[in-house]
Amino acid sequence: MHGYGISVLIRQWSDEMLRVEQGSLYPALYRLEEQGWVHTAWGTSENNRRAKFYSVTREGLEQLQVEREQWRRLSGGVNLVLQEV
Amino acid sequence: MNLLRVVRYRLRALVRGAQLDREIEEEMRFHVDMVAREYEAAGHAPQEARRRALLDFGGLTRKKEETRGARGVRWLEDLGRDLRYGLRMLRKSPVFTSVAIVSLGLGIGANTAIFSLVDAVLLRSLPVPHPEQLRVINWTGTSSQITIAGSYSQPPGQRLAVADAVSYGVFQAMRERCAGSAEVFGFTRLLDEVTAQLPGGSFVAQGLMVSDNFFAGLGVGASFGRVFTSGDPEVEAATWMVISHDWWQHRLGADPEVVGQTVTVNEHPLVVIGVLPENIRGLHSGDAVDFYVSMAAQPALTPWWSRTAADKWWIAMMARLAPATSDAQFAAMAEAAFVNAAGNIVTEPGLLVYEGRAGLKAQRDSYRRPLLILFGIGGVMILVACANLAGLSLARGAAREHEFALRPALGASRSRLLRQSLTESLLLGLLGAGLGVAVAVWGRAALTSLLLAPSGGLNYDAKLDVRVLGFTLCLSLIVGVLSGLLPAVRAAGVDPASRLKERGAAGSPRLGLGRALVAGQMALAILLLVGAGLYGRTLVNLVRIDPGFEADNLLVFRLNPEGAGYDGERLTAFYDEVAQSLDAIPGVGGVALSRNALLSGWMSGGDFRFPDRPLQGEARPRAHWHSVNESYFETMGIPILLGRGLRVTDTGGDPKVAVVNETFVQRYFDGGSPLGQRLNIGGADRVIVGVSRDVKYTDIKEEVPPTVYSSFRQDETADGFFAVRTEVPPLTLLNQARRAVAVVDERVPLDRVETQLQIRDRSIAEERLFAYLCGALAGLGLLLSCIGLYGLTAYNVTRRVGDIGVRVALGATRRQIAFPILREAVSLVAVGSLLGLGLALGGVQVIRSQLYGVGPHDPLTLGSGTLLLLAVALVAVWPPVRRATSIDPVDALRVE
Repeated sequence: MHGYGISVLIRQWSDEMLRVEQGSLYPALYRLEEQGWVHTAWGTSENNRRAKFYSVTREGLEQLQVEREQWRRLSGGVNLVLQEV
Repeated sequence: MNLLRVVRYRLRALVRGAQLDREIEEEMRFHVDMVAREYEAAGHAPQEARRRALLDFGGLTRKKEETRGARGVRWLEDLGRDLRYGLRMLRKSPVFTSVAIVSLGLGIGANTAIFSLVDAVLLRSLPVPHPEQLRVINWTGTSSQITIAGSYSQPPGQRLAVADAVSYGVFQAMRERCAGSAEVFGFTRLLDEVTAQLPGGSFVAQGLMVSDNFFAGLGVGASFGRVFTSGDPEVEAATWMVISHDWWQHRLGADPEVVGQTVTVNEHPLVVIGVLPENIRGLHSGDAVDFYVSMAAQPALTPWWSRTAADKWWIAMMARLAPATSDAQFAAMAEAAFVNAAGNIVTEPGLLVYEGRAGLKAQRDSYRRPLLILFGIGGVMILVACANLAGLSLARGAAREHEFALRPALGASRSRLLRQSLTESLLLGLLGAGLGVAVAVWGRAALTSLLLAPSGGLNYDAKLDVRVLGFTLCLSLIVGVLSGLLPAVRAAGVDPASRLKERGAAGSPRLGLGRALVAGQMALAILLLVGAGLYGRTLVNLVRIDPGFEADNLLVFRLNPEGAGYDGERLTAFYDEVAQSLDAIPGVGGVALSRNALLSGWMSGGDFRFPDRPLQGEARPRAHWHSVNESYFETMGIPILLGRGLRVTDTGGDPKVAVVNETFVQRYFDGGSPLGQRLNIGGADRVIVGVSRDVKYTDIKEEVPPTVYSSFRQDETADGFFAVRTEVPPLTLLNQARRAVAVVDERVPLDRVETQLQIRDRSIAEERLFAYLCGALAGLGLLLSCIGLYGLTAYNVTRRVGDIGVRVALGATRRQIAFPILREAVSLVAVGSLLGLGLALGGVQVIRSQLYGVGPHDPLTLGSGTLLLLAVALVAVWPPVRRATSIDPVDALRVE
């Protein structure tokens, strides 16, 4: 999936809640690539233009589990605190 | 995280940076195009859709920069850019750049060369496993019952003597007592006492006689063959030798079949059993041991002493501690053993245990002080270079002020500017280091030949290895930071708004710093000048000393006929034959034979008394004692002032004769005639038959000692020095001299061949080195500090051009223009000189002991150093002052 596609997906999945500056996606993607969590390849897009495609690597999936767990704990904690108040 | 992958990724980012930049751009343009299409689909006009898409994206260029930053090589790319930019700036001011590189190069080179020596002589460990386990053992105490073959000294102010050698019995007792906790091993040097007969001829060799556990204790094995081990049978071990790699290479033709060959040493055949590795050269960093023999061979090789005699102390000791043994345990154990074994012969016995990582320390100790002083001088020099570069960079920074003001205004961060400035000075530092290494290659050779080689027999290996080059790199980085930090901070601290507004305002704070740097350079330059002056006067004083004999045109060498088995009557006959053979060479004007070479640092001395009369005052009068042949006085050019010299007929024992020198007569005969008086020295009565003129004996620097000459025919001389008076340059006759000796006996080699002037120069080698080096560094320091002063003054004039123009227009005379500029320069020199003189007055105490015939506070040196600095400084400020006085007000105001 190319960068544009990813930004569209984020927008849709978050019910339009997360609308960061779209350009900020790219530094993040490059950092993921440097860490080896995503793999990139050039290909042709649905409208026949050259585009760079990103796919998650196995290491990336593992890291996702770690991050997801961390987020769950963090947001759980925040929720608890907010419920108390 | 996989490091390799990250490295590969970053490398790709770095190498293919341009391509990746294109990819990023293409990817982002695709993204924006897609969003724009969305907006178009929603009904916006194409242009409006594109604008919105770009807005959503958040600035194409900025995001591109951010993305590039995310590649993790941003700093490297910046560095590359800084380097390119720095190189361009350096190329733009070639004068500044070459002055900086040359001054840093010379400074770094001098320091690298000095450090390579310091490293080789003082720091490097012995190339053995776990050198930190090694210890050197000395003992303290007093004893009048023993003779010591080794080092023996009475430290000033101490009651007890310090010595290194013990007897065979004491050594064995200590070794056995410490067994299990430490391996105590022993050795003794065969100093100039051995001659080896090899296929290529006879050579004087440096031998070490070692205990059977020596190699095990030191931790050294043979590179081929074997070494001595505990439990070798005595009888066989007495006929074995282990040789050094060097000897094997140079004397035995690197013969791979060397093991099993026979080498004759002092007429005694020995079988080579092994060759040591190349890096094992002895027991300290400058050692050059040619071969090792077992103590079992002692009776055969050096029969003039008894191995096991309780009063013959000849074995020096080292030890290797077992890992579990602490220093305290070992010291206690070894001392107990020493006291137990030697308590009956030594009073107040005690042990001293030193760290032995680098082996024996006597040589290190003797070089420590001169080397550290050299290191200090080098440090002062490099400080001058740093201050100079900092000052020049400041001035240049001031000239580039506009650029530095503009860059932050265009968005460069402070840290980015700081980094840019530092990159430039580090670049200079590294370029300087490059030149420095070249300087060091040359300087190291010069230093080694000036300081170390003249000591004779030492074999230091000062090389530019990883350690030394590491030192150079660190030094250049430190220098780069030191000289670049101040200007960099200044540059980064420039406030763009104010700086761009008020151009050319006088009295900027930057000048204060520049002044301080120039004054500091002046101070250090004075310090170096004073040092150079003192060392220079010392050297001149030393060279001017009249030794009392004619030192020109003398060829000197040593013969040791004992190594070929001569003794008694045959020895005297041998010397006579050699003297005749030498005398027959055309161009030889006389042949002198003596126990020691003059001015060589060696002497013989003895207690004496007058059998016929008591001597008041001195409890144990001692005189230098010199055993010579009858043509000695004439050949050396020493006049006999009273009575006669020695004669060929002065043989046998009755009566033995002596010639004494003037000092002896003045001190012991109140200037009256000593002829016919009897004198007892060396255990024999002698009749004084003559008085000779005073001559320096041991050392050019000493006072002439009371000296007694006796005939070599009446005192057996084992080895002797020939001094051949030549009518041509002495070394041109060397081959003929060799042949003349070989005709008598080819088994006796010529050793320590030198001219008498070389011997004298050797005795003042250290002073010469310091005078030359300090002089060169002082000249350089002077030059640099004056360049600094010039730079500051010139800059000063440049920024005041407008000012001066106005004043000239208002009627100021040339004198009125020049005066303030000159006053500032002179006051800088004055402040710097005062500071420098203060430093010098304190600093010269360190070198006091190295001076001769000049006090450390010599007013002439201090004064002329200051005057020289002032004179050169005036020359340096002359061009800018001239420029200031010839400013045309119209031009000046137009520029403004």
